[in-house]
Amino acid sequence: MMSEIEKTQLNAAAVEVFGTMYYTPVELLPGLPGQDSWHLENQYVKTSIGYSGPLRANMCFYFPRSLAVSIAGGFLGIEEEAISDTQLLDTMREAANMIVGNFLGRIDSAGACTLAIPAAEINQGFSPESVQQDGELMTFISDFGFLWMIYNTDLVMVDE
Amino acid sequence: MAFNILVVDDSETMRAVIKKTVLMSGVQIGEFCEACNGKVALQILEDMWIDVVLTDINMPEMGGVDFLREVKKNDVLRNIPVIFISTESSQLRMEEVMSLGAAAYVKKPFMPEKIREVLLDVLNKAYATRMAVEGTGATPAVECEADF
Repeated sequence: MMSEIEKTQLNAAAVEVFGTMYYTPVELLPGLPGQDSWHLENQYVKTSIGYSGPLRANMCFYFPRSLAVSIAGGFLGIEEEAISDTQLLDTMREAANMIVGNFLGRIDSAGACTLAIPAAEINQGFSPESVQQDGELMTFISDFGFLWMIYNTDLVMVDE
Repeated sequence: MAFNILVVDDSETMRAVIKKTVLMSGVQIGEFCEACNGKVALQILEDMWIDVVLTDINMPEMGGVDFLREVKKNDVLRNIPVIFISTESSQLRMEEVMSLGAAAYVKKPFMPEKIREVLLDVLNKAYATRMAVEGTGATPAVECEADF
C-alpha cells in the first residue's frame, strides 16, 4: 500500500507536471470514485514505468484517450486530428516519466533509486475492475474524466 | 552570432518541445541537431561543430551521464557545454552531473523561460571563455528578446 505521505507527494508531482507542462489540472482523489461516475472511454493510453533501488515500485497509468490527445496537441502545438498514435504514445510515455521522476525526487532525496525507461501502448476495453488485481488502484480527476493508476511494489519492471 | 545546438532525448516529442522552446527563446540558431541517445549524440559531435548540448539523463543505449563522461574524456569535445534537462530531480543526482562537468541542470517539468535563462547564461559564459582564450574583448554573445 502506498503511504499517505507518498500519496501526497504523488499528487504534488502530478499537479506540477500537468500544470507546468500541459496546463491541465489534475488531482489525486482520496478514494475510488463511485462506479456511476466512471464514464469509461473506449481507448486508454496505458503507460508503465518502474523504479528500483532502496525503494521499488511499478506505476501503470491509464490515460483516457481524450486527455492524451488534448495533452499531445497542446504539447506539440498541432491540431488534435493530426496527432498520430506514435506521437500520442511518446507524449504519454514522457508524461509518466515526468510524474514518476518528479515523485521519486520527492521521496528519494538521496537519489539512490533508478528510474526505468517507460513503455506505452493503446489499451482497448479498459475497466478498473479488470486491473484491480494488478496492484493498488488510484484515481486522478481531470477535465477529461478519470485518469487511473496502478501502484505495484511486487512486480517491478526495470531495464536490464 | 548563430549557434549550433544539439538536443539529446529518446522522446521525439520532448525533442520537438525543446526545439520549439529554444527557437522561441530568441537565440540565433545555426544548425539544430537531434539525437535519441548519447551514442548517436557522440557521432554528431564527431562530425560537426556544436556550441551547446541539451541532454536528458534516462535514455536507452547510452544515457546522459555516460555521454557526459565520454565528452569530458575527449580533448576536442570537452569544452562543449552540456546542459541536462531531466526528470531526475534528486539533489544527489544533480550534484553528480555538476561534479562531472555539466554546465547546468534543468528539472522537468520546466517553464520555457527557464530553458531560455539557462541557455543564454551558458552560451554567454562559453563565448566569454572563447574570447578570453583568443585574447579579444568579450561582449555578450546573446542579447535577445524571447517570443514566449
